[in-house]
Amino acid sequence: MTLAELIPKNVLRHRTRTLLTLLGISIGIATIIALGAVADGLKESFGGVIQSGEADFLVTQAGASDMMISRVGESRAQQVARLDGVDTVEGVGLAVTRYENNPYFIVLGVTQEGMRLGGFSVTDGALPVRDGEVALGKLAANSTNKGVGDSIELFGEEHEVVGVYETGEQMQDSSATMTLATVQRHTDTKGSVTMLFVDAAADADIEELTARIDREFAGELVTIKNADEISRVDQGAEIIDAASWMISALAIVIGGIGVMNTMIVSVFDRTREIGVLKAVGWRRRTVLAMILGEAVLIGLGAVVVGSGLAMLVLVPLSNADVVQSFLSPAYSLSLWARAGLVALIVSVVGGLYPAWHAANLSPVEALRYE
Amino acid sequence: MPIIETYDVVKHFDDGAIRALDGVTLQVDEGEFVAIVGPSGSGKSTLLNMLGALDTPTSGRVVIDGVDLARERDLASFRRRTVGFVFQLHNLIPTLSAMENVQIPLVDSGVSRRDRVSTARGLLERVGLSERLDNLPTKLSGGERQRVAIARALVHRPRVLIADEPTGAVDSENSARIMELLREINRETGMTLIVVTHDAQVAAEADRVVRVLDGRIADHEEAA
Repeated sequence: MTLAELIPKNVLRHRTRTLLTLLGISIGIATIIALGAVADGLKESFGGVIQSGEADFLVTQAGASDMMISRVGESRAQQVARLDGVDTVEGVGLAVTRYENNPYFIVLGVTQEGMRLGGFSVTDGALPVRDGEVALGKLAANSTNKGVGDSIELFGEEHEVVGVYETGEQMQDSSATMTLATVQRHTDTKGSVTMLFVDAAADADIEELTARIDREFAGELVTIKNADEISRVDQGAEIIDAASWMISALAIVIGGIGVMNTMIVSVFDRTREIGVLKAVGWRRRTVLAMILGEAVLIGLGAVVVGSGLAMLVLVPLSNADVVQSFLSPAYSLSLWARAGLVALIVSVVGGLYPAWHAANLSPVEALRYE
Repeated sequence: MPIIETYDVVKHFDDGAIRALDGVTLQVDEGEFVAIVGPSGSGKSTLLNMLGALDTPTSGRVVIDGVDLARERDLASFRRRTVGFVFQLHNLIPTLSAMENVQIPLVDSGVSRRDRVSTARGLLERVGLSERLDNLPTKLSGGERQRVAIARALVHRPRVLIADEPTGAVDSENSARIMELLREINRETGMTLIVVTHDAQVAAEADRVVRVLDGRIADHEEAA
């Protein structure tokens, strides 16, 4: 009989009590995993916009809290295009319209050159060249059940599907693409775009170039080189991240109280037994390790159950049309490590006092306990 | 040769309001079987706690196997090395089998799994429970549970076995079997046996009976 064998047996002595405590913590863990996967998925989606094609970086409006409301005027676009180190600049319009049950169907307005920079690879038909034409991303074609030759109503007008494309990135492949002029007409944004795809010259120093643009257009434009910089123009992922951290903190407090309650009741129930353990020679640290070990085991169980609960939510969520437009939940080792760390902190915080109390019980008094 | 010596041991509780032991001086020789008797509240259990290093005196000295308990910083480890306990209620862990309960004192002791298992098996066979190794306490009779508790008390080969009313919760037939077992172990191994009891028959089997009254040793009575 080792401590490692004894601890699970003790935890399972009161299954209902253990299960309820575990469920309480696992709800917090599930929320952390779900929000974390969504936030990471959002970052990956936006990051994919940058990384999918040949553009070296994006330029958007400084101070815009959401990519959708970023506006970059044509004159600014031309100024950026004239900078040393810049090879090509293409404007991209981003718009959102309703399609059937999805109120957030994304439509990209892109020039022909912009489609090349954006990494749009045609798999059927062709990319749109005139007003009234639309190409669907691979995922959008599947979800709308439309193909080349079909008609699709967007922005209250019928458009002809002239092609299907693929970029390898969730957001773009779940969207539709029209000419830039068509999107500008639909959104009444003639003369401006949402962002610029910028292709730097072959010998350009990207870091230097983006720093120069940030400096010269400070307060008006901002550059984005990778997914980590998306927060410069879109706080969506940051907000979800912040919510996730707040929930982590709440989970620690609430979960910790739950664990402490369960463990202190368990220690009181076993006061006499702990007295016997001390009488037969168990040291304080062994008693402490046993009680703390039981708390940690409950926490680990909560990670497993919480992960299952998160999947129950995330899998149907990620299949919803609305969500598919933006992101696919991203699961990473660091996400599970964070969930595991929160569960560990909850267990230790909750189990520490009961473990200390048990370890410091006088064997004589404990043996007398009724 | 004394294995236990107490010198004028006093024990107070509640800031002196209760004087459980009032100057107890006692010697127990190695291998001796001593019965401690006395009415309820006489201080027998408190004295037992001193002799088993479960508690320390308010004043006076307790020396067990040459170790002055006042100078021993880790009483738990000392108990593990030196003293075995049998309680009136067996105090077995209900979710562990007989084999697992016997191994409990060896948890975190550095003893290998093979040695733990073989020692536990040997002891359970010694107490006549070789057919009950995997039984939970709920599947054992009262007498069998107490025998598991005795095996547990012996698992680390203590120098002293302390039994507090070991037959108090079993019927007379099992009571006799348990005392016979304890006596055999006392004789075979030379382990010192100290039993607190209300049972005159149990006391009659001891080498010496120590009577406690009002926190003091009233008298000693050698076996006839």
